[in-house]
Amino acid sequence: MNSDDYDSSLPEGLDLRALSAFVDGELPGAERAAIEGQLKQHPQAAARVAAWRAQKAALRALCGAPQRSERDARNERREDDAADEPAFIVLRRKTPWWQRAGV
Amino acid sequence: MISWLPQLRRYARALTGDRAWADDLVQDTAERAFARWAAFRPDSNLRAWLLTILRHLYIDQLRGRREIAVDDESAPWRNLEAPQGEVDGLVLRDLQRALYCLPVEQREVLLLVCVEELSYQEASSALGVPIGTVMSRLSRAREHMRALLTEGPAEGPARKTTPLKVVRNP
Repeated sequence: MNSDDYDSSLPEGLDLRALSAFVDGELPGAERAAIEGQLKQHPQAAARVAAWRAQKAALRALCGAPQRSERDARNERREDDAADEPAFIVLRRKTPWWQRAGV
Repeated sequence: MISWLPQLRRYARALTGDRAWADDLVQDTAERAFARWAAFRPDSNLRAWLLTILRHLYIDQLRGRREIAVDDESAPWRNLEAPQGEVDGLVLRDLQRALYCLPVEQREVLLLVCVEELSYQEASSALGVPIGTVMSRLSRAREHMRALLTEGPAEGPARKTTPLKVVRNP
């Protein structure tokens, strides 16, 4: 079974892969503009993009990443305060790796 | 490299859903990175390289643990602290459950792009698959998550479980 084969189209013929790449700011200018146009015409597609953006923000919160990434802020041409949560590293082995590595 | 350790640990914890396993993975990643330091190209992204090493180690170790199903009552992620609250209307506890219902090939690409912010090019290199595959896995992962979150938690003994899928090592 090749699980990479699947129907990635919305009923209107919009490409889910392109919408997804749009959310990540991975589309070149012309394609990006085309998607922006389609979002205005197709509420269903706009709802999908909104749902994925919410999913991304929630995932970042779940994993302790700043909720609004710099990259997304650039992509959406918006400025939001990123709520940085500090992350800590705890190495549990008795001999720290940097000692074993001779650092 | 030390400055990337918090992010490596974040990725490892999200990927495995298991603190102890994640700490070991980060440790192993640091050791392997030192051992292979000569193989790192200075013009490339160090963090993406480290995430790639960590992901390879995870897939290797997963093979040894593949008898553990993700949705088992005893799955490691169930021992994580339950997240509180919601973000953009999504209850984090439901999101956590949905994340660990995904096949690992979907979870890893979602985490690499959404949380660790790898570009599609970097994710393609980390996963050893073409960019087109990154795109389709990612959109499928998003739809899968959306479906899981829309359906809500299924309860009862008849609940379907999603066994771990081990992806091919490139």
